[in-house]
Amino acid sequence: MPSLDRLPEAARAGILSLAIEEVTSTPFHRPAKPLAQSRVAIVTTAGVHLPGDKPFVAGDPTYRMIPSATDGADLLQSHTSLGFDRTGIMADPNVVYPIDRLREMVAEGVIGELAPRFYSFMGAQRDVAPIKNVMAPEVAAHLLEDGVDVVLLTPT
Amino acid sequence: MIARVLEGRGLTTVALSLVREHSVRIKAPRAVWVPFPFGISVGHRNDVREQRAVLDLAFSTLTAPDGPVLLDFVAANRPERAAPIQASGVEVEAQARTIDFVAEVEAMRDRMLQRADAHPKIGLSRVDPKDFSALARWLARYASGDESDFAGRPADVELLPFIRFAVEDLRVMYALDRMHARPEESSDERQVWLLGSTAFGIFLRTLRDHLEASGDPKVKAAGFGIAR
Repeated sequence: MPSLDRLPEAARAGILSLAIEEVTSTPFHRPAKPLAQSRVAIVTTAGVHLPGDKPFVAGDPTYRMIPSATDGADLLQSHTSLGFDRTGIMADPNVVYPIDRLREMVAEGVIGELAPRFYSFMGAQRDVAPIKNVMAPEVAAHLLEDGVDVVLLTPT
Repeated sequence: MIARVLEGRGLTTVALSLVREHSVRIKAPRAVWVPFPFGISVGHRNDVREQRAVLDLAFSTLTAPDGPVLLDFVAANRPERAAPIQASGVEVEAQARTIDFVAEVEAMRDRMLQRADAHPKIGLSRVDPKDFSALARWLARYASGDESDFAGRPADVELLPFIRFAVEDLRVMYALDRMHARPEESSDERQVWLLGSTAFGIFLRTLRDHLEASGDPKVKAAGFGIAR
């Protein structure tokens, strides 16, 4: 976002009050192969999902799986908020879920291939513990099962 | 935070970031901060070049030998707010008060169903668009104090989330209709139209006021999520 100084004070305070883990070190896993040979997955916190999936509610720590063959136009977004305009995402899901761009990059040979399963979480979490301790490790296991090399994370 | 969990388990991650202050603190292994409003992380609607440039910068971090890596994406300067203008900042036009809400919803719905190119992203409430007249009538009654239930509410969705989803379905239907008619209009201009020039904008305020008058904090909070 165009830096917090452009937000109204109440909104800025709200954003800065969100739970942020204080950390001193960073896990770092160097890619084993070039991007052109890598299998890539999207993990988004945009709260998008298939129309038949249970919609997210505020603070929902669970995740939804999205087959990567799904077109962006077939997704719903149940992360709704007066804090952002969802219309752009409804008109062009690549705004937060760049499925068309990644497919183009595969076709061009920039990316090796797309993983079969992508994942979606709800954004604006206040208590991150269930995601950190349970849900994200589950997603990591699924991604590793699918032989994923690189994960692209996108917020909304 | 998710990036750190995945990376710690042997995956390589690249994260887009909307709040630079958070990314600095959370030390994701590789992140690119994008100077976009909330609701946009990869790039603006239909701006393929911008979306691709963001992704190219994001994937360029894969060559870094060590982390954390935090790069800033430099975007074209657009006159846009970081977050949408709210109802309290928009004056209702006198003409909007003369529009019948249900008739307005029906006109939007009919145009939506005729547009072959539209993504009918109006499924959160799971109400069929052909029943939007009844939905709009019910919402208007509810906002004016008659709290009887909507006959078409799915059994597994409670009333407050259902109201929220129904309002969101209508909000998106209106916004896409406007976007179709005026594709060059900014998000801010569209929001001013929605809140100031439509019967829906007036309805949103009425519904908010009704919910916020409740003694139940959950209902009050729902009002804050409808309009503010």
